[in-house]
Order: sequence, then C-alpha cells, then structure tokens
Amino acid sequence: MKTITQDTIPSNTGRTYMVKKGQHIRVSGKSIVDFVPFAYPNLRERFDQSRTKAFHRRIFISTGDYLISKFNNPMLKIVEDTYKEGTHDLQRGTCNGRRWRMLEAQGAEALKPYAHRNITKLPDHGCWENLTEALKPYGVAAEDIPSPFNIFMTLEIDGKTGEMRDTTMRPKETAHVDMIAEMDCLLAISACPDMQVGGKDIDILLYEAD
Amino acid sequence: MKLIKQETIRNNTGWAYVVQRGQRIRISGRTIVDFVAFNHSNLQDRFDQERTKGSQDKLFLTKGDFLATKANRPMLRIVEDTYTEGTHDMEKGMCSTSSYQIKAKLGKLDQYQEQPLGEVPDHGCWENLTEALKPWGIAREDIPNPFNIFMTMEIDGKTGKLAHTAIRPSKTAYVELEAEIDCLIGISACPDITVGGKPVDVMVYEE
Repeated sequence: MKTITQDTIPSNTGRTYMVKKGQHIRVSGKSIVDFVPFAYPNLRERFDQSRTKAFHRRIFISTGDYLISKFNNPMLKIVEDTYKEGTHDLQRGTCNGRRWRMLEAQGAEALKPYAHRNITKLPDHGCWENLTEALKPYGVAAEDIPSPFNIFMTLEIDGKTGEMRDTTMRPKETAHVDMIAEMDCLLAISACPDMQVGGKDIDILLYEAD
Repeated sequence: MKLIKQETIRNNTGWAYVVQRGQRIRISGRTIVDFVAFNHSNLQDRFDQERTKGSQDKLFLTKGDFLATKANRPMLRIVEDTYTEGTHDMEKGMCSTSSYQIKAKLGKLDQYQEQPLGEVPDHGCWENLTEALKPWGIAREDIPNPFNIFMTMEIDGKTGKLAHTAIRPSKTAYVELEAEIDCLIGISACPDITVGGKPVDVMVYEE
C-alpha cells in the first residue's frame, strides 16, 4: 500500500482531493461526512443521488455498490464499509446556514430538533458553505454542488407513510468507508457539524493498493 | 378563472413554459410525468428533491406541501392532488437513453417486467426535457431530478429496497400547483415503460 495523502478535516470545514482512477479513498469518522464527487476534468459531470439509487434499486448503498454520475457512469465503488450500526443517506441535501437563518426567523422552533443537546445557537454555516468554499478554486458554483453521499448519516425512513426522521445513530467506534475510483475524480468533502450528535473531525486517507 | 395556456403533451415528448407567481398549473394524466422547475429570475436556482424532502421531513409530497429550490426557496405549492391510489416519487432521476443503455448492458431491464417489454425507447425524459429547455440555454446536466408525478415506488425503509410498481391513477388524476415565485417549468410525458406512457394534459390559469 502506497499512501498518497493523509489528512484530517476539522469539524465543520471542507476540503477537496484529487483521486485518480484505481486509487482508493478511505473516509474515517464517527459523525456525518458530506461526500461529493465530480468527474475530472469535466466537472459538469456530477455525482447524482437519484441515478445512484435507481441503478441499485435501493435507497442505501454499501460494500460493492457504486456512486453513479448524472451521465450514468460509475464514479467510485465502495470496497469496504465498516459502519454496521446504521446506513448512509441518499435523501438529504447539505445542511446550510441559509436554511438555519430562515428557521431562526420563524422563532424558537429552529432549535427544537436539537433539544437533546441543549444547543442555544445554530452554526453560522454548514456543509453547503464548506463545500462551496472548498470548490471555489475549481469554479464550481454553489448551485452546482450536487446533493452528497451522506456517510454515517442514518435516517429513519417509513416507506409507507414517507416519514423521514433524523436519528442519533452513528458509528460507536470510528468506522470507515473505503472507495476505489472508477474514473479520475475531484472529491469535495465536508466534516458535517452534525447537529444531532455534534460533528467530529474526519480522517482522510488516499492510497494505492498493492 | 382565467385560462392562460392549455397543452397536450404527447407521450415521450417534453414541453416548457413560464408560470408567473400566483398562477396555477394543473397536470392531468394516468402515467408518469417528470416535472422540473427553475427559479425564473435565476435559472441556476433549480428545483431540488433533497431540499424538498429535507425541509418537510417526508419522501412524498401531496396537497399543502411545497417544492423547494436548492437555495431552500419554496417555488410551487401543491393546492390539489386527486391521485389517491399511490404516491409521487422523489427518489428517481429521469429515464434516459443512457439509463436504458446501462440497464440493457447489465441485464437490468427486467425491473420493468410488469408486462412484456417491447423495444427499449431510443430516448426518455432526460432527452425530452433537454430539448424542451433548449430555448432557455439550460444544459442537460443542469436539469434537476424531477418531481415524478404519478410514479409510485415501493420503498422498504429497513432494507432500502426501491422497486417499480404498476400503480398509477385508475382514472385520469391531476396535481395542481400554485407558483410562489415566477418559475420556468419543464414537463415530460414519461414513456413509463412499466405501464406504457400516455399523453399528459396541462392547463395554466389564474383564479
């Protein structure tokens, strides 16, 4: 195994990494990670939640599954997933300061979903802003950042009623998702502030397997 | 009621139109309709499945619910929904040449085999919407995943299974939306290869 990059993304910040076809990226953490791939160099080919779900006929992905682009191309394949307590999310977009400000404008209700954590104030920014900032050097507009593969984000979903609820289910000990690139990709990754449990730093390892 | 526009969208074709704030658009049919919307004052601010689901904590929309843009802006509100047999979808993207090709290549077309599958269409909703939205200079990769009207999926929240069904309106049903901002609307009458697509009727009016 040849390490290419090793990095720690501090909570509620974002970074980008270039991964070449055949290389691996391992994302390790205990709280939500917003993970967004773009094809490189054609950054207009973006990851697509719906294409990914349609391709697998499943709303969750894990070991053996692909992240699919809007053009129906496999971008990355999950080769290992050690998160056993729950599932990764393909329903939600990115948390963002803009929405929190809208909720605050409606009053105290804004903090209600996080009552169990005694939070008195919502962050001034979230994953959307982190990803926007990280992607600036590549000229990717905020609107063009696709909804992510939300690693370690476990939602409770009722397929009958359609009810969708946040949970505090996360890896008990540090877990990782290991992916191999099926094409050259620009990866944008945000260590989510994860308001349900409190965001933690995320470890990134880029490597070539033997 | 003042009628502004009436249109029948033929099966497996698309149509686009600008609906002004306060106007209503009624979409009537018996098979899947791929419905996308753009903030007309900023076409980069598009309908967003995830924002729509996330801000309302639900997978399915019906009367009273709204369609949101990526910037979290409510763009259209559902004021009437007469489809009672099933739900509308916000899991899937658009059917397309490339999606049919990739499934054919991988032998996955069997997922549509509720009835014998004839020839795979040479195009789908993605191509229909791309064509319809060309006058507004919208690139195909910038067409958001739609609000898929009358598309009833079977979802298992435990296993994650997402399966097609043949559940559709037994008689013509409609969804009526009121624009909360000026919206560019793109609509495709889906070939709906599970049941066979039919034309879709659209009416834009003012109260």
